[in-house]
Amino acid sequence: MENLKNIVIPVNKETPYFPSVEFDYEKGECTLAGESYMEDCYKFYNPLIDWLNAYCERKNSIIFNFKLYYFNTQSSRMILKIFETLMKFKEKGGQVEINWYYYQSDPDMVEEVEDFQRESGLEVNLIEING
Amino acid sequence: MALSINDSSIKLAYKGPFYIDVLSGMAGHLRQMYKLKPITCNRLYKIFFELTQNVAKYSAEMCNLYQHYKYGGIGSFTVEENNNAIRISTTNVIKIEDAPILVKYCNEINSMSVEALREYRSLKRRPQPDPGDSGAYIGIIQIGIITKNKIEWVIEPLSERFSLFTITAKVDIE
Repeated sequence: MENLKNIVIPVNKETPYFPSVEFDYEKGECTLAGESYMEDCYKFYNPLIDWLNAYCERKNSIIFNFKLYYFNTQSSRMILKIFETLMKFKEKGGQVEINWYYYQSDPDMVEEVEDFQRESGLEVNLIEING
Repeated sequence: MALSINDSSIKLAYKGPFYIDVLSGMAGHLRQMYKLKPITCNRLYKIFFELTQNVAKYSAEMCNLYQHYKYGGIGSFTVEENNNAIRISTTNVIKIEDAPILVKYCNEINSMSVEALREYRSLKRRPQPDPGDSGAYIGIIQIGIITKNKIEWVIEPLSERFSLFTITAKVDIE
């Protein structure tokens, strides 16, 4: 199977409702950062989930970093899909590390991530950052 | 009693199409206003989008002026501060037949504890058997979880076909 092309979507101040994306095939590391409250979550996230599925067929470990400091509930459905994709990868023997960065000033995020853990069955490293 | 725009407790208000860029700009303004109270500010920000994006998507009154926006629901919102709490309200037109569904749903959410709401949110964010499932309700569940307060709502008849739906979320200032 051929290597996948990396996905890089930088932050755009004109459209702050899209998170930045860095899916790096060689490094085996994916990062979503910023905010996520776009009008059409499926249109944005489905290609990312397709990439992730293709990645999981090719490699045996992944690091997924969430640096989302706001996402709406529609986006949360897509985030759960990412978790489920990673869980399937783990069940097939893949190594999965998930890091979730959250601001000290947003304690509610901890509960939100705990629920993703409970719903997906995956462990998440919660990393508090200043701000 | 209806709020007047001259009421000093009103911190922010808007009436018109809820295009995403309008909401994004308003939310940025809201964040600036409450930046010295970061926990409250984060809660306001989250609730603001849940409420206003429901209007953008589900208002029975739509503005199709700009075709590049997917949703252009028309409505209004106010952000009001008093008694150590901030209330965000949105108002929009709904079809009269949707009123009892909304009332049932709001009552259901208000009857639940925060823990029960978290369980309910988990259930609602799974793929829904009904492809027409709007996803609007999960936003209201989220409001209950974040504010830990009961939501308030009012439905006023407008005509034989339409009503006016106002929903209010209260965020305690921390």
